Amino acid sequence: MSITDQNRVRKVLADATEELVQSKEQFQSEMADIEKERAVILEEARRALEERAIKKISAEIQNDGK
Amino acid sequence: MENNIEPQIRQELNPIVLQEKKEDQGSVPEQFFDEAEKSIQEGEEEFKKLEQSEGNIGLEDFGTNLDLTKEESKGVLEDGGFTQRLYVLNEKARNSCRGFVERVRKVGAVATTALVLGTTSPAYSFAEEQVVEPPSSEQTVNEFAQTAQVETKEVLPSYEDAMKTLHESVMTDTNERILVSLKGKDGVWKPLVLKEAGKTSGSVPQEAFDALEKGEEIELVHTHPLEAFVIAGVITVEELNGIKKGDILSPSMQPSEMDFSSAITLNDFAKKNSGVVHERVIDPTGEWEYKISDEGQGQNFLRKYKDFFNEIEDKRGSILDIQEKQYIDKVKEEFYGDSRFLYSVLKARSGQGDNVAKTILFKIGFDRKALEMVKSFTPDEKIQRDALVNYMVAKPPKSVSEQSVQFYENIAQKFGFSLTYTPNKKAE
Repeated sequence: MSITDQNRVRKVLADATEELVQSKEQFQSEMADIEKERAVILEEARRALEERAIKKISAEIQNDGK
Repeated sequence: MENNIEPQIRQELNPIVLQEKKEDQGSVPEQFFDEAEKSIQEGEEEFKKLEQSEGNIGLEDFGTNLDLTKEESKGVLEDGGFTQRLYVLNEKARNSCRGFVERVRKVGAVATTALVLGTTSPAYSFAEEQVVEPPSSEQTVNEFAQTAQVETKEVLPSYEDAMKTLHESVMTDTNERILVSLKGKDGVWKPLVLKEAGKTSGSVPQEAFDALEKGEEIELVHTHPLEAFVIAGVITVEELNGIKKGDILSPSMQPSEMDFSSAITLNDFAKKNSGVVHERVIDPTGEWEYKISDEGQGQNFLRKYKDFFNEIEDKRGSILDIQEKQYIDKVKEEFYGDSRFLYSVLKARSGQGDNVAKTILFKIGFDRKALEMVKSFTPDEKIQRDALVNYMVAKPPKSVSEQSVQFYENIAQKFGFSLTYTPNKKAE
């Protein structure tokens, strides 16, 4: 037997909705930061691979020239 | 069937309940739960993708295109610390996904348990007041405790007189009243007990269970008095006075989720003992008869709530120390012995930094169990939950209309209850 406190239920839902939106924004922001960081690492790694490839080609050219 | 009292029912065109609700309300329940579900799925999918990816995916192919062997590429990536950095970054992303999913689940659990906690709010509000401002609220708490615990057994009138009293009392009483009647062999209802309960709640009298245990057919009628509408946030004090003077019409106050929950308990008990139970709520506008509409899965969501409470109640006795048990006894003494009130108070006090309340909730694993309950909902149970939340937050129109009654009757079906409204007869 009871009467429902509608204002309170509405408030809890409104608060929960706001928290959900905030959580989503936080998550999206975290993932965006991670992706930025990943892009930097990938770029650096590609450069390292290119340098390694150049060294390899240079070595091969040197070896061919001998 | 129409009642004899109450001049206030005049059929007027009212906006549909849902329309009114959307204007007044910041959030729509289905949208919230759908969004939460979607967010959890997105977070989980993102997590799975990260689990499956090697972190340096694409880089070895890049190396191959540069005429590096796999070993050479691997060597560059490992020696340069790239593999490690990408692994750490992936772990960070996985944690972020995990944290997000967990946060959303918690938010969902909070919203869901709000159906249980604080929905009958005097205890909750008083608890908050008591923590913030002890001297003035203590008085309020005591006042509430006194009125809530009064159970006045009266000299029993005839069934007709008792029903007349209940109809009249909704306009004048502060507290709910409960009438339990027994169906005689002659088919005539005889009052078994008529008692006063709390401002917005009352427990089912033991006499009801005793009669059902004997396989009797009983009827349980309780009131939703006009004054409780103010506590429930349905009307303002000014509107209350206007309704009492007859200047404005009263909104309806149909059975609450707690009434439905209680109906499950009584129905199960009746079934077990070959008894029969009928239940009605009297509000200032008329009567609402409510019953379980089928014997299937319709009420599963509400049943999970009950199991949730039963489980934590069972656990409580064995894991709390004497001080914590005394704390609970004191709260129950102050706030009427209902579990919902008790946990509403504990949650409110815990939120205000009360360490004993916090410890009790932690020990019984309240939040964890609420989360588990939410995780366990089947698609059908989620539909039932959404329907129940909609039922609870829908703002009753300023006066009863065919549309609003239909809204409540239809939506109650979705969580397994049959609801029938009978307006009071117009005064001649």
